[in-house]
Amino acid sequence: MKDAKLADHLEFLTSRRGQDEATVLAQALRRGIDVLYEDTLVEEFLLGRVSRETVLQELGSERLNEIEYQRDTLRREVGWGLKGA
Amino acid sequence: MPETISDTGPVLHLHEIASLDALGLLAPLVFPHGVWEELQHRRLDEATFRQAGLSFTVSTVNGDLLSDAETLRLQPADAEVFLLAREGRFESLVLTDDLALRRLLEERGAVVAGSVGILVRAYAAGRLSREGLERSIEALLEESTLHLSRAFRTYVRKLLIDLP
Repeated sequence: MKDAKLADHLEFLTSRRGQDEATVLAQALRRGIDVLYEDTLVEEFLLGRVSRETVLQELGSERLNEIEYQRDTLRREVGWGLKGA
Repeated sequence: MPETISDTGPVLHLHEIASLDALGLLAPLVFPHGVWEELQHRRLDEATFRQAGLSFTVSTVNGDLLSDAETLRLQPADAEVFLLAREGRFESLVLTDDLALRRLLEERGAVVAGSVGILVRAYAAGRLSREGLERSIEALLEESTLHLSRAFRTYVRKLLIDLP
């Protein structure tokens, strides 16, 4: 996102929520870290560097099922593709 | 050759990375009417497919999408894909990058493939070199509108490295 757009969004948030910039930025940082943490945790799991148990504990069984389904889907995709040899 | 029913996603994503011809192995394609409308809305027309050497037909789906319990959670065009596959007793290959649609189809025994699989098949069939496959997958992950999180983009790259 361009800086100008980011500034516009920040101004929109502070005015509509009635919160100061520091509060909004703290919330944004927390939410951003959560998103990045989950994506990195999933990446490490997919690469075999984080255990299934850890993902289960951190993200819950429903999210773990989604991740494993998508992972297995991609594996099947590649396996199906190779059958064209 | 059996028909291949296609959703909007794989066709659109492969078009975005100039790899529509990878679908040649799977043609003739069948687009439900709703999918064809979505493709046309994104400026893919008959000439686009002719230039890629792809034959296709557009099929009207029977049944009421809104009242079909099996398709309630799907977008209308995805629901048409499902119903068309169901009309053929799920024996046709179905192309989609939509996970919800894919799950529904696979639960009923259909064989489903998406953009990644189509490119790998083009490679396996000798239509794409290894370098071409890597370039196409990288473009698919970084330049197309296919949505994959960073984690799954990394995973696809890993799968690619492990390919024979």
